[in-house]
Amino acid sequence: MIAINLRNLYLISREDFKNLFKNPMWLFYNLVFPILLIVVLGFLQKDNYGGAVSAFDYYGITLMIYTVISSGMTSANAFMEVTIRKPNMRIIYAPGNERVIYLAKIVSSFGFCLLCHLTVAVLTFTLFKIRVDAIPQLLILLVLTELFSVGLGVMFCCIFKTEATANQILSIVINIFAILGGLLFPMEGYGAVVRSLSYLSPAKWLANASFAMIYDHNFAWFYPTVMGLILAIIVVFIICAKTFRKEDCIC
Amino acid sequence: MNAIVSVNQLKKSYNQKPVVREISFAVQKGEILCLLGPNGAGKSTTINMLCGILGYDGGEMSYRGENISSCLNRFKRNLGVVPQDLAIYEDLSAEQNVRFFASLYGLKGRELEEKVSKALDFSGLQESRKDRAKTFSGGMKRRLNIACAIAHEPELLIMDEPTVGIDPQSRNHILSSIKKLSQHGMTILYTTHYMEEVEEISTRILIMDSGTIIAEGTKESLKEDIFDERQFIMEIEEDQCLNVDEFYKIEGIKKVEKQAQTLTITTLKNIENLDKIIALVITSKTKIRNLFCRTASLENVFLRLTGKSLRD
Repeated sequence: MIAINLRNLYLISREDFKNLFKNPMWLFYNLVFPILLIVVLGFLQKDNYGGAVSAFDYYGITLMIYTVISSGMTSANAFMEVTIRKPNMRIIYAPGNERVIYLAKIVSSFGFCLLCHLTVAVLTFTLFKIRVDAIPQLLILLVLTELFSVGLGVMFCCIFKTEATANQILSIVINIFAILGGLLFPMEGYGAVVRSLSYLSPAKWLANASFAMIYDHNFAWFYPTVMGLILAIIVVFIICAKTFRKEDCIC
Repeated sequence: MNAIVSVNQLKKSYNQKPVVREISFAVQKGEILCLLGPNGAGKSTTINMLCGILGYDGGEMSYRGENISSCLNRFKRNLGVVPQDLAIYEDLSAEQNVRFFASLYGLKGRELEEKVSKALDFSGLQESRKDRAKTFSGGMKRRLNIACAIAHEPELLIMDEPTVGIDPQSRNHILSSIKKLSQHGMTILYTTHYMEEVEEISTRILIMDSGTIIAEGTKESLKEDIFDERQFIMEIEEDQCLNVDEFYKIEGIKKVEKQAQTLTITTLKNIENLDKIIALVITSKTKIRNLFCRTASLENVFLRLTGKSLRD
């Protein structure tokens, strides 16, 4: 039984992974769009930054975080997009546990987004000489955030039952995370209340941990952020398990 | 009889509204059992419960005498499903689609390739096997939908309205394929609201309406059981000598209508009186140009049982 489930998980993930690479929209969204964002904001803001930290240094990191926390949009699409949703029915008809459906979407979206975002990071960090340090720790944060984000996308689909609703709500949540986390513009000058609220955003923790490690070699933010992400991933997986209903795969 | 699947007192409600009301039936080995009913009769809900995609509120289902929930994986391994919607990956080729779905049933290597090729052959898609499904016509996609369901050679094939919205040529291809599958020993449960399909392929019929099974039998027995009448229709050379009232003296005659050159006689089915009818026409010096007997259609059966047409 376990062997069937593992084999089916592998087969479905592999197929979904290939399908994601065949979708030009998701390739653009995960590969080209982040580079454009970094280039545009880096150039627009270059006069507002100077000294040790350039606009590219700041936006290279924050917009990478923004890109990674947006991965949920990809997984929501891979899970419940109408052309994918219909073949999902056949997976339920096949022997094995139907939970492999959403697990496979998480696995495939995770692999796809991680590959795309690593490519973006290597390209932009090299081209714009963005300062990075503590690379193994940054990679751990990238992997965990990626897993949390794709899980979040699938979780929203399990709760709201359609890709359209899930993506609408997800994009609001992602942008609240991004604004509170100061990913698009620093939030330091908006008072104590906003500053306190900003800690509700995982983006804030990720940005603080990354900048502290890169510029101060300070790992004080790293460990709580990793613990928080692991906890968030567990919660997301539990909610997925509780809210997934195979009936929702009927078109 | 050898029941593959038995359904007993199965029921399902949506928001307190019953859509399937304690239905019971069995699917016998080798038969083509047609579940006939209008849209909203509860056919697809029944099928979805049987396939395990929908839960149910009461009753039980068994596979070869064993409760399905306790042998779910064995049942699923022997089950092929052709859903009403096209459950295929549009971006994959026909061959990739069939290979992927067949591999979920544990097939691999040479066995997988042989069965994929066989399913494509059977569906008439061998020549287009490398083409992406999204380039296919509606009929080809329907055939691919079937190929994906039969590649693992299931014992029971459930088909939920597989011919909806396709051209007559593809429909004929699908119907003849179903008959071939049955000849090869596959058991088929087929839902439809097309009467002609049921007439063509069924070995047994369940008529469903408003969540209940209202009749069960072969097409012949359903017509026999529901209707005790038949009609003789004569095309005659118009003759003023023919007195319609004379026919009522013949035993079994219920109604006689004469319109222009057509004489329609409704008579009890179990009384042999055709010779007397013909004799009366001939003695009235009326020439019979043509004579045929009209028996009830399944549409009539449905109309008689429910008081409404199947496509209402």
